Amino acid sequence: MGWNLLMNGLHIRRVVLDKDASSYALTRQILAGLPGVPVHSSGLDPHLFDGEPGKETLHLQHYKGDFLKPCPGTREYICCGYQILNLAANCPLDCSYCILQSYFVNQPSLRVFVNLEEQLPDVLQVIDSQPGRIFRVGTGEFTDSLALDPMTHWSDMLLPQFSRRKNAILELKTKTTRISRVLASGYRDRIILSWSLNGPWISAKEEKGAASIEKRVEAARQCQSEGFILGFHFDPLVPYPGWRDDYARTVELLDRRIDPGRIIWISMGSFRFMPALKPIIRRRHPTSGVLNGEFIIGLDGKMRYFKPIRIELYHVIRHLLEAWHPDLGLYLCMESDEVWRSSMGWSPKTSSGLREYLDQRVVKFFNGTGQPA
Amino acid sequence: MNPYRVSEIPLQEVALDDIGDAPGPFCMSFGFDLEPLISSIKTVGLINPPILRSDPGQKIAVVAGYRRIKALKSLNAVSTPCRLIERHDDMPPLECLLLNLHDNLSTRRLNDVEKGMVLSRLSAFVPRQEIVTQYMPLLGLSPNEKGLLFFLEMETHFDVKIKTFVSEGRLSWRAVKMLSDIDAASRAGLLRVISELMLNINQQLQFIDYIVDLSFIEKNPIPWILSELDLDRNHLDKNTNRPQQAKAVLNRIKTRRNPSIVKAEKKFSRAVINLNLPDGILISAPPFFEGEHYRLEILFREGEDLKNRLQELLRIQGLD
Ligand code: SF4
Repeated sequence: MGWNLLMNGLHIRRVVLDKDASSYALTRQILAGLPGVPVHSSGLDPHLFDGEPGKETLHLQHYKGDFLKPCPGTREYICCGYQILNLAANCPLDCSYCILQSYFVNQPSLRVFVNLEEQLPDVLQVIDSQPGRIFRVGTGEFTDSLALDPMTHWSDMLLPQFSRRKNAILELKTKTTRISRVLASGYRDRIILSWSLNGPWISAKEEKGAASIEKRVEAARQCQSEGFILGFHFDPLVPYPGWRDDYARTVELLDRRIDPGRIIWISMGSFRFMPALKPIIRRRHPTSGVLNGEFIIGLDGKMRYFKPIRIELYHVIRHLLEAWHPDLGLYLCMESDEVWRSSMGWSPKTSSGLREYLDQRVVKFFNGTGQPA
Repeated sequence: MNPYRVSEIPLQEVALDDIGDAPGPFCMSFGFDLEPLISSIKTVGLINPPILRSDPGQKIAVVAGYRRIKALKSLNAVSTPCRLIERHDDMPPLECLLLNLHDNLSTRRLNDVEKGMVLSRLSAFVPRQEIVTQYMPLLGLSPNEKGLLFFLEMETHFDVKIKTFVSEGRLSWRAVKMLSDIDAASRAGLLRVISELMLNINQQLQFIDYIVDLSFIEKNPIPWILSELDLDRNHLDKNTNRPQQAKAVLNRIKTRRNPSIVKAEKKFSRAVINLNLPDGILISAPPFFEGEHYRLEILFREGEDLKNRLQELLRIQGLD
């Protein structure tokens, strides 16, 4: 059986191995799972990265920075105070709107940081040293949390550690259905499995390599039925002709398959991007429609939809979701107090207000006992 | 023959009529003002004799000194002292080109059209990769193939009017970069409007961005969008000057690209007009209405004046 089939669509053509990455157990494990895939020493072959972002090139690296970092929110908008566990950079999927395309222009390969196991104690030490604080930790900021799991087995390493900590949760955010390892693990406490959702049309057109919305929701249902608490993220919301009906279809799908009482939160965020991403999207995804809306330069320098458009998006989807269930932990990602009030009918006012709101959701769902409330 | 040996070629007098008028294969001069050179020659004569090249059956070509020859011709001179490279000197065309290039680089900065001329002439003799890695940096350009293609196309496809616009540095590099991402026909159309309306740097970027966006949104090619917008200067309001025309054109395109934003701007302006604010009092919206705070400006002379203005403001209906 070829690697492609084994890895559920994950396609690795070559591995680049940094010198200081070769001795790690994770390196050995990954290489053992890639028989026949050529391994190059880094820096030897300048033509390795020819062409488009090297999502078929797996670069195993020793990461020298901090593995745990706060989400880089900005002062101008209300931020949720998430912590990012930095496991990898880049993603095997290829969403047209993905900001990583502009972050990693010069390092387009799929980079996995193989010294995670060595650094994890430091991360946990940071968490344990502040028992009064709730750490909401996610791995899905610079890659998809589960897309690489069949190869990296990150979940084997992370789930036991986070599951036993009373002041943290680990959220694995994905657009895939690569859930077999998390399902096989015995850990459920303080683990949140989240899916990014969109209208089915946007998903089909703009999220290359991702599972269909139907498949994502089905994977979520499976995980929920196996005891996991779920999260969903409607991000990036994109208005296009017919968007209302399309998003309604996704909510209907949730309604049919998912128990809303066991959803910790659902976020909404509209498409936003640094201006440098625009020419990249135009070049890499010439048929994409994500740039078609009316954008302005936001207070943080990113392009975002004109405020009334964002308010309408949130308002419509909020009502769809609230009609399904009144207590879904809805929140907005990187929005202003004014947009919160106009679209959600209330506002946490500040980033610390939003942090508190989400921390309370954690307390409500895991109740300090490790069991869903 | 090595270029440094050119100085060993003895000076001789050549009739200007024997020298071709066309810029020729070694020329890299565009968009220059001949007057200072003419007056210099008139005052002190020709200081630096040109280098020419004679090939059998052809008019003599200028290797270095194209402007000097032009200046002399416009002064109705009959002949010029020069160094004439002949067949037996065994100096291949690439060396002639490099000779002129280094002669130019040592005395002045080439404009972008001239850089295009150099790159285009080099491409006849030098592999593309070498041009990118060696000659683009020499010309102060970042070494990339896309940039090279853009310069080559500029040299071969742009008309004189657009080239003049580029050579005068009135096309921003960000605009050049944006233009290099689109096809030649579209590029030519956009450049025509930019040069016709003499758009300033910000306007250029905005214009290109809007039109490219419209082309994607409406799924029509750029030349089609441009022709539909009918941006020909002859069809614009004749009673307005060029900057006003440029502004009007951009507003038209912006309305098509961002209808909600333009509608909100108009609504805000109407609301401010309806307030009938006294002279010297201005209210402006936050950029793109994104922030929450509006700005009030009051011009006043002294404290008493300010008090009066504030009183006037308080009396204004419709602020609540
Ligand atoms: S799944 Fe996320 S990280 Fe991966 S390509 Fe899509 S947007 Fe980028």
